[in-house]
Amino acid sequence: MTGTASQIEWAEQIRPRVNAEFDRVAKAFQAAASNQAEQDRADTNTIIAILEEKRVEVMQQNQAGYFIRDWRELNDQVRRMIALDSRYQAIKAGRKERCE
Amino acid sequence: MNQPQSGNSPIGHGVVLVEKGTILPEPIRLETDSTGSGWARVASDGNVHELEQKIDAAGWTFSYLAGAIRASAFGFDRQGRIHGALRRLFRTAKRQNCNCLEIDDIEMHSFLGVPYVSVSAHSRQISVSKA
Repeated sequence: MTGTASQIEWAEQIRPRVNAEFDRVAKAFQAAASNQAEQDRADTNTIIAILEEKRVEVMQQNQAGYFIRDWRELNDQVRRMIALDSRYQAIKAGRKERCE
Repeated sequence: MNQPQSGNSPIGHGVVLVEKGTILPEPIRLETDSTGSGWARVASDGNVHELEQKIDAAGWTFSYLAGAIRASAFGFDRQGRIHGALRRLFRTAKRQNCNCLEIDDIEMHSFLGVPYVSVSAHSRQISVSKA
C-alpha cells in the first residue's frame, strides 16, 4: 500500500471494516434471494455478482488515501456503488415494467 | 451518580442517547441499554428542549456539534438494522469526543427488495460547566 506510514496504518484498520461491510450487504441480499420468485431471485443474484465485482475493485486499491477518504465512515457506500451500475439500472427498469 | 432505569420505547426523532459511564447532573437518568452497545437513552417524559433546560438549570453544558452525521444498515430485522446504524453513529460521536447523540431522523428504505435504514443524528457533549 502506498502513503505515509501513518496513512497506511490507518488504512489497514479501515480495510477489514470495508470487507465486512460488503459481507453484511451481500448477506442481506442472499437472505432476500432465498425467499424470492425465480425472476426476482435472478435479479438479486445479479446484484450480488455486481457487489462482488465492486468488492474486488475496492479491495485492490493500494492507495491508503483512498480508504481514508472514501471509507473512513461507513455509510451506504456499497449500496451507492451498486446503484450507479448500469446493470442495476436495467434490473430496476425491468422490475418496474413487470409491475405495470 | 444516577442509575439506569428500564424502558423500551422506540428510538426516533429527538431521542438522546448517552454513553454509559458518563457522569450526569442529578435530575438526569438513563434507561437500560436496550441496544447492548454501551449507550442508553435519557429517561425523559419531555422533549430535547426540556432536557436542555434541565441540564442548564443544573449548571452543566450540553454542546451541539454542527453537521449531521449519518449511517445506514441493511437487514430484515428492523431493530437489528437500527442498532447496526446506531453503533456506527456511536463510533463517530466518540471520534468527535462526544458522549451524547441526538437522533434527527430514522428513515426506512428498500433497495431492490432488501430493507435498509438510514439514521441521521448530531453529536452532543454533556459536561460540567467550567464557569
